[in-house]
Amino acid sequence: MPHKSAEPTDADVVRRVLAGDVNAFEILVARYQAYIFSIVRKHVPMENVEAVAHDIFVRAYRSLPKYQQKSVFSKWLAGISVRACADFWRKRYRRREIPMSRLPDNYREWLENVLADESTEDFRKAGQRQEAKQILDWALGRLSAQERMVLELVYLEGYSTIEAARLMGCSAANIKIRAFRARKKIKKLLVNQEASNP
Amino acid sequence: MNTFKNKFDRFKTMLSAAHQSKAENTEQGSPQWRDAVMRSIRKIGPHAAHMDRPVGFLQLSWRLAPIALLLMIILSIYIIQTGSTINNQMATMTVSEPTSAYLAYFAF
Repeated sequence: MPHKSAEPTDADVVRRVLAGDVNAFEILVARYQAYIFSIVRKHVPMENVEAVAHDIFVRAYRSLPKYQQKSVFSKWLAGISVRACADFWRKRYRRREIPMSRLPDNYREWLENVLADESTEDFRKAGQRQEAKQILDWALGRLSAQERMVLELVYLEGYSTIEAARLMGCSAANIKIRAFRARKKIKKLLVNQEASNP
Repeated sequence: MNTFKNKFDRFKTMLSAAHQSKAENTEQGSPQWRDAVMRSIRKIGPHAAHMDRPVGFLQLSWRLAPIALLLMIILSIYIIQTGSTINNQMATMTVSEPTSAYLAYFAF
């Protein structure tokens, strides 16, 4: 994230915090809060964004001694954010109720109408609609926390396998396997369901 | 099969747009939110204080591992060069014949 040359660099601030200046951490919070919110908003329901972002900065503070100064601070923080979002879903799935196996009728009808259209531009516009968001949440809710995050990063945000692996803190091979499984599940959930509909 | 793939690509376009539109919300954290974060951070305490704590046993044992290895190599070389001694013979006896070693210990 760019900042004026007069301001202390991230490395300087990190050094100050590690030397015991707790208040210096506020500089990093102010500098990166918009960036972190932009990541968290995509992965977590609106009502939980602030709590997850809060948790990310606390985790970052605790992990600061492990931060390697040669890596870019924003990328390091993005990794913590993605893993915190995955943890959020892991906790939530632990206490969730058994989900509905089929897409609700009103959404299925809406989906059929949208698919009948030929233009790609129309699909993009349809994606902006509340129904599309509900269908996306319904489908993602049937994946595991890890598969959900991998699918969002690789298929919906267009990250490469290596980038996603770095963010998730696992191997590229692991990401490839999870992405394949998640894609297969989503395909089965949406395409097959739509096809089996009389 | 082609139609199937095409249909999934359509879904992907629509779902990607739905996913990206989630980020359009301008929520970025209020000053109160930032204060709450800093309160949590201050509660944890400064890092320098954490670093002053004595290192854990596990951390220390790993730090001493190279020294222990070096010591083992030096001792092995020393034993090979000097040959068997009374103590070595006693150790060999203890391992092979524990009863005799016990008796020998009391005999001397």
